[in-house]
Amino acid sequence: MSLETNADSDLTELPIITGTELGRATYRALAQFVAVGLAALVFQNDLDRLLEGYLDVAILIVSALILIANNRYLMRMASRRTPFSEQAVLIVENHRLLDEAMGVQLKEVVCDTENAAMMLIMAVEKLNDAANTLVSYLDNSPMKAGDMEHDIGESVDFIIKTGTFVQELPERMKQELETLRDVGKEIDELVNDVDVIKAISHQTDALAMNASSVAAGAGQFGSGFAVVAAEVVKLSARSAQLALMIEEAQRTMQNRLGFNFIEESAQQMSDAAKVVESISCLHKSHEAMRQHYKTLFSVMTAEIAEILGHIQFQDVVRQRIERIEDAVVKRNLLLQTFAQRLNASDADLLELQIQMRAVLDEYLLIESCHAPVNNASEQAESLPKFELF
Amino acid sequence: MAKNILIVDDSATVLMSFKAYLEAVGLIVETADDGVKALAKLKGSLKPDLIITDINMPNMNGIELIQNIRALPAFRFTPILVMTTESQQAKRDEAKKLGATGWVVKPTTPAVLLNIIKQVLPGA
Repeated sequence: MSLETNADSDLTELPIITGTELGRATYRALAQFVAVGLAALVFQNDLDRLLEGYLDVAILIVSALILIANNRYLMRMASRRTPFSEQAVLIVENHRLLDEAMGVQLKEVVCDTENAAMMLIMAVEKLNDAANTLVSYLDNSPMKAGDMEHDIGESVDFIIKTGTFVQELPERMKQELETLRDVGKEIDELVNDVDVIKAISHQTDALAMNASSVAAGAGQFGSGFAVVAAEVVKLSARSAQLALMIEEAQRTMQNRLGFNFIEESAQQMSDAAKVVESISCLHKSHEAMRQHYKTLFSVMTAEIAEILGHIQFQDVVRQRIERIEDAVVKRNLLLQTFAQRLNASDADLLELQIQMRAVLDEYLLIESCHAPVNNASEQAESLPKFELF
Repeated sequence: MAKNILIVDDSATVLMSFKAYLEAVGLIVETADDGVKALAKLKGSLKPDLIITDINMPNMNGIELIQNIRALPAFRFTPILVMTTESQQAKRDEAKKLGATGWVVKPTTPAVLLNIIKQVLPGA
């Protein structure tokens, strides 16, 4: 702003000169005065001759010039600045612009936190769904495990019954074996009789041959006797055959009485019993695991609920920022009015001061209506957080 | 039969978080982000067993909403819980006078809210 512009404006508006500038100008003037004075002393005789007695007048004129020059210097310094009211308006405007810029950032903060909170909620929902699915599976698994256990139990019962039968089998077979052995003994005794039968058969053969010979010698009176002798020979042969058969059967029976599969079945029964034990241990482990996971997922569900609760703080922050913004807007309007009134010569700022105070009081009152969140001592003094009427 | 709840709040995060939790525990939840929309839903087909509303909302605040709800014959006795960051006695008294059933100060955990809902709606 030039000095000419200042001259055109209201004459009551004086340019602002800082103390530093005034001091500088004063020192400058003094220095110039001293310089002129010294010059006058040094060149006094020459100057007297030159000015022919008007030295005093010359000094006065030079001093006046020095003062005028310094005054113009000061005016030039001051002309570079605007009047006070315009400065105030600029200050307020800059303040408003700063608030506006911060307000934009605060809105971004609200928007960003809201988006983040909503994404968090969606992620938590998925987590909750997964946890519920697993809990549902664990709730249903006892039924399936129970069915499985029942089937296994039935199979085990069958195995146990079979095993018991097999376990009793040796004793029973032992008894049978004893019976068979007794039979074998009797057969052995019978074999002894077989030798007798053989001997009898041999003797009978011999007797039959003799009888045949005698019958042949008796002629027709011995023919009947020859027939009887022939039949006796046949009977003897059949007896011998029977003896052989008995011998053969006895040998066979003795071979078959030597089986030993009973010991092998006992080992298999022992293995089956171990399977039963393993299945029982497996079932206990499964039940313990199911309970453990069910407890874990119950804890997870509770924690998920806590997360959802904490997300509300985004809303609390948003409301606080909005209340701050409201108060800032009201304050800025008053500041703008303040800056405008600085131009008026009869500006009454008292009302403005009262309004500014009212903005502050209103903001503090509104803030006091909202419950504190983190200060435990304040919470203790405030009303209960929940009330049924 | 599952209980039906209407939550009215201008905060999307509050609506989403409580809806997620309450639906997970078996409640049916409808939402509205201001009093005008909530009232429109109530005048329509929505018949909630419980209404939960904030106080500071655009277009129609919670106090006005309570007044308008109580003016509807179908909702004269429907429980209304106020859920807000405000905690002043004067506001509580005003809400009570207009017919609110209870007052819950935010922030509150979903588990606490569920506990309160069970007290207001025994079958929930």
